[in-house]
Amino acid sequence: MKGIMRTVFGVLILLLLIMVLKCLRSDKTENSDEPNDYTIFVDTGGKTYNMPKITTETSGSVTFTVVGGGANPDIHNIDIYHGLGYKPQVVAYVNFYDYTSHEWMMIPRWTPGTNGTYEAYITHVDDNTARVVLIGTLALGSPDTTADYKIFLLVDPQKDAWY
Amino acid sequence: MLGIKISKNGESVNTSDDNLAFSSDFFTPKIYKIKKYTSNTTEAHGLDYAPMFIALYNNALLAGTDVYTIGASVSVDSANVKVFMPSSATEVWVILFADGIE
Repeated sequence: MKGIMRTVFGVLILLLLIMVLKCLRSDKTENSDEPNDYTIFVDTGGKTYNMPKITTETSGSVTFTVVGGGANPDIHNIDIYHGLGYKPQVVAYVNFYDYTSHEWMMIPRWTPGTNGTYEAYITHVDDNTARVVLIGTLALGSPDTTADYKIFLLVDPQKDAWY
Repeated sequence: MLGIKISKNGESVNTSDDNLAFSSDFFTPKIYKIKKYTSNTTEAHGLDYAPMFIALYNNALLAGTDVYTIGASVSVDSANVKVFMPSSATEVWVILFADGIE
């Protein structure tokens, strides 16, 4: 019995693997050829759109301190090894506690705070490691400040992907 | 382990992951709401967590009213979307996802 079930499941999965799929948005009532009307659009006519695919999520916190005599950047690199062999798309957010209590901002971002200025951007060390850079530039005498970050790494490449 | 893979027309589902149209092996962001703002605004988004988002704005001074760039002064928390209009922008578009940051 288990063998039969496995075979049935196998056939179903095979069908799923080769099927064509178009999922209409809930606010659309008629079929159309417009990809904007669908949540998933895979068409036998050759129109197929890759959906963004998140492969890993990384979160954490950093603490900024006064550097030297103040007004110098305290730089934190968050490196994410992915081993993909190409530079993937990265979507990342930061919450600078010196800016406000608990608000997430999209990276890249520059913003002032109470004790200094803050910036964040995305780069890549190489084809196997993505990097988010968080920088706090605090005035002399400022207390330490904290930032939370959340990084979504996609399996989709950031360039050469104009399908 | 069951799953769904969708390849592009004419290609095998055994292609590399980055070339797939869809794969249930990966998390896929789901668009919750897209809204245009034309002034500084704090507005409830209707979710009980801080959602992922993308913000775009046009720069009427430098690029033109119909050219959009990323990085508008937008933030989210577990209740609201907060939009601070860049000085040269006439509109900010916020794409909210149903998927949370936290």
